Amino acid sequence: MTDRYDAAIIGAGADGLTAAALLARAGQRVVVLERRAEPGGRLVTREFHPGFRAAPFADALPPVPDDLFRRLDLARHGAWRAPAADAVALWPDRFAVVPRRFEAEAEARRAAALAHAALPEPPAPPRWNILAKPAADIWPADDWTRASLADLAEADAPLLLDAPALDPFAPGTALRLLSKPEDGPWRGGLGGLGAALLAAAREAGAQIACNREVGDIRSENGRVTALATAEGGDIAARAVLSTLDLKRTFLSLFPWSALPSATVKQIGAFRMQGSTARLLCALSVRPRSPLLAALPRGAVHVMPDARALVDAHAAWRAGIISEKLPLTLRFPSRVDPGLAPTGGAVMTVSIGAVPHTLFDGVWTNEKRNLLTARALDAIEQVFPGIGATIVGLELLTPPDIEQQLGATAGDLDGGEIAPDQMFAFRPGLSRKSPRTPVQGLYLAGPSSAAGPLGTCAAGAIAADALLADLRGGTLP
Amino acid sequence: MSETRYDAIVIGAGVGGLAAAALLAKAGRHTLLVERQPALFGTLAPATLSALDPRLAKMLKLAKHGFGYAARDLPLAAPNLLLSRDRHATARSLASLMPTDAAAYTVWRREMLSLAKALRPAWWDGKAVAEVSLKPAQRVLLDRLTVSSAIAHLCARFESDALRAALAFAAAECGAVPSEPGSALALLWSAAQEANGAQGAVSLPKGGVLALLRALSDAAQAAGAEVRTATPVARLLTSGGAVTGVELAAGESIETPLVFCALGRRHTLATLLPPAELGLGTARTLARPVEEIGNAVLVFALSAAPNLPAPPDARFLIAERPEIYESAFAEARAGRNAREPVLELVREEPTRLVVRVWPVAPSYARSDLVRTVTLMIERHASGFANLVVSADLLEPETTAPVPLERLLASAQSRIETPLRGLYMVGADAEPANALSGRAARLAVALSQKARPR
Repeated sequence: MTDRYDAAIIGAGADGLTAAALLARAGQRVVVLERRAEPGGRLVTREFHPGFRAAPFADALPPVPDDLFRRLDLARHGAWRAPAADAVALWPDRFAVVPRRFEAEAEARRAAALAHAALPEPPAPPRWNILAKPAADIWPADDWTRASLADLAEADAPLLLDAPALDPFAPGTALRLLSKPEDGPWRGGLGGLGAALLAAAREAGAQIACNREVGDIRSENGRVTALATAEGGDIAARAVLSTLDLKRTFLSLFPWSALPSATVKQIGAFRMQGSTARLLCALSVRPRSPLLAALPRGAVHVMPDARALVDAHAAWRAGIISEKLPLTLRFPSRVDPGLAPTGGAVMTVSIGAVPHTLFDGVWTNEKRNLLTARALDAIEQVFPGIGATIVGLELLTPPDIEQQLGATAGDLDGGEIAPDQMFAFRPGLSRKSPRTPVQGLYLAGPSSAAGPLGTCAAGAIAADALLADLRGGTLP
Repeated sequence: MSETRYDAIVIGAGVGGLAAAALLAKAGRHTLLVERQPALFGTLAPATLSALDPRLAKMLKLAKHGFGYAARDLPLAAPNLLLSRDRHATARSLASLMPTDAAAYTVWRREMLSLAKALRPAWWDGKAVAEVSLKPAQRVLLDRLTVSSAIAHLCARFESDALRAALAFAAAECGAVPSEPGSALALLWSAAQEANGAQGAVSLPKGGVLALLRALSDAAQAAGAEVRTATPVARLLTSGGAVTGVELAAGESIETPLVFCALGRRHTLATLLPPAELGLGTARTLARPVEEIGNAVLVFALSAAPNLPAPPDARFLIAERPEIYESAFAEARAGRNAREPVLELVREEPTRLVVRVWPVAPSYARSDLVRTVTLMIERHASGFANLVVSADLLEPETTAPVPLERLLASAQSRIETPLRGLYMVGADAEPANALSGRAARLAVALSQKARPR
């Protein structure tokens, strides 16, 4: 066949573009297929109200590992990093800068876990020191696979995450610190990172095809042969790298009979549940709160409270819109004034503990309005008068995120971040992750081991594995 | 005139305390057991045993002291479900529920029982879990269990909610929160236990658990242990990092080089010891608040046998869906009575129903609890409420949820303390919460190794 690629990549997000750049630079013929009209995935910025733009799914992502930043040569392609901005917790009468207590520790753990995930065949089973550590006198919560966020927090300094849906007292929740987003380091916001990645991929010679939705992954005898696009026509490839999540990759792109039943069962048991809604607000005037001027430019956590989180988590599990919602605000136009017309401002709200599936039916307009009203009421308490300046709103519930981003159940984490779904257990299909039980199919994206550990990291690890197999001759 | 010097003092007359006193007295140590309550044991106790240390029973010849079993292995029943030692009956029951689960259950049970048996040296003899030699496949399963929640593990293995919920009960029973990571390991611990020679069995002693307490106290007193009731301990006397004695609340001081404490570890270290005896780190960990939850035992006396949809000898479990555990434990943690707690019903006698209730917060509302439980049973056994003659509630003992570390820690680290001569033999010296007496046996052995006569 003349038109056969070495690697076909599904999804032109951070992972897809990273993998494309690395593979193309290594001399492989690479095509990236993107369902949407423009590449970028979570890194895109779009107009949600005339003249106002925002990144719909996230304003901040976990950091790009330093060595990868250099390896992709992102600085030359226009990405520029500034020190991360501080986050604050805000109440009607006071605010507190969230201390950066665990950043260094999280960074060290991420680096160790990524090094582990990059091994050609990680020594199985991974111990993570679970059994090796001697129990101290009262069993201190020293390991993040066992510690809860409440264990790590001190009474006066809560550990705050973006839009969480979790019980901060449950063991293992400390692992969420690994995927904590880093605020504000990219010039031009996340779009700046996206543009640099795209430039890097294009320069390396990767072909990027937008408006091409993949309908099926064709396989023969347990080996990937081609991608079938929704418009019709097959794209033959020696290997396929999927940056979609686990369930979407396997349960919607394969006929079920093409996979071993044990694999299908295992994938079915992988827990994915959306919990974040996004509210994009266009403000006619910049908020004039003297408080805001004094605040750092990072995330603003609205009236955080561990007890309320427990209740919100219980409501979320039951499919109820909680009365008290965990809210994280950002004002991207403070960092990038070009996102709003002169004098205006953009505020984005990440709302946590929002169920994907409500217990009493679908997301009707009434329920969307209820969610919006509850969020705006809480914001009004800390920024009085801000509601009156809102001229445009867009609400993205988890089903909207699922539909627009293609994330199963609207889960932005690509699967619950829990001890049994992290590290070598993520996704746990194959000991030689990112390889999968289907030969020639590689899983990058949020459900892979490296997914929550850094932006672009999963793409790089999958690309390296694919390259090693292409060169080693394991792929025909 | 009481003596003021003993070879060993045991604080608290639970299974752990009584077993320690009996073993020490048998070893020829001059032993005193002090109990805060006016009577050695009350009149109420849970009905079943699942983790009694078989070696302890043998060493103390409990059978000679009147201990025996009325039923060897109670089947576990739930609405439309019956899990019993009869494989065929179990398979039939599961097949009618969800055909794929019948085969999956057989495989799962075999895997769990064999891995659990391999881990017995760790949980029974004090080896560390990491040192136990396992086959590679078992090691993989163990690794997965140590990071999984019982519910997630069971949801991945089985299709039917009733089966998932019924099996998750074993984790709740030994003090873990079934929705929390690591609680899957509690399932394994529970599968490692045996009752009357049958692995993974839950048995009914003749006369209930009270009969076990009586037999242990008989054994202790026959061997020469002294017992003082209504004798609360005020603090431990220490010198140079070692225990030197016990001061009673009444003011009396008793010298002893060995103290076996059957109270909670946290309580013991935080309230019975001068803070200076502990390192700063330990003192700080102790100062951190821990949320305690526990279970209550309700004993219903009935005018006639209840009309439960289960064989009369079965434990009947009311927990229909696995999510029940999560919501009930979340409510208990928030300090409220769970609206729908998990219930285990055992018919000790045809008209005496012993109900264990999970979970119960320390600040539970007593009358609400009895009403909630009665109504929940009424839903499954119509007419139940009218049969109730009396309902007695055993004061719930609450503890912090069993952490994974306890299940993985070596026996030494659970039993020994920063203080020489002080050994823990209470519920939290065991890997998980259960009436076992194993910590007492191991503690006595450790103390004899440290201070041979």
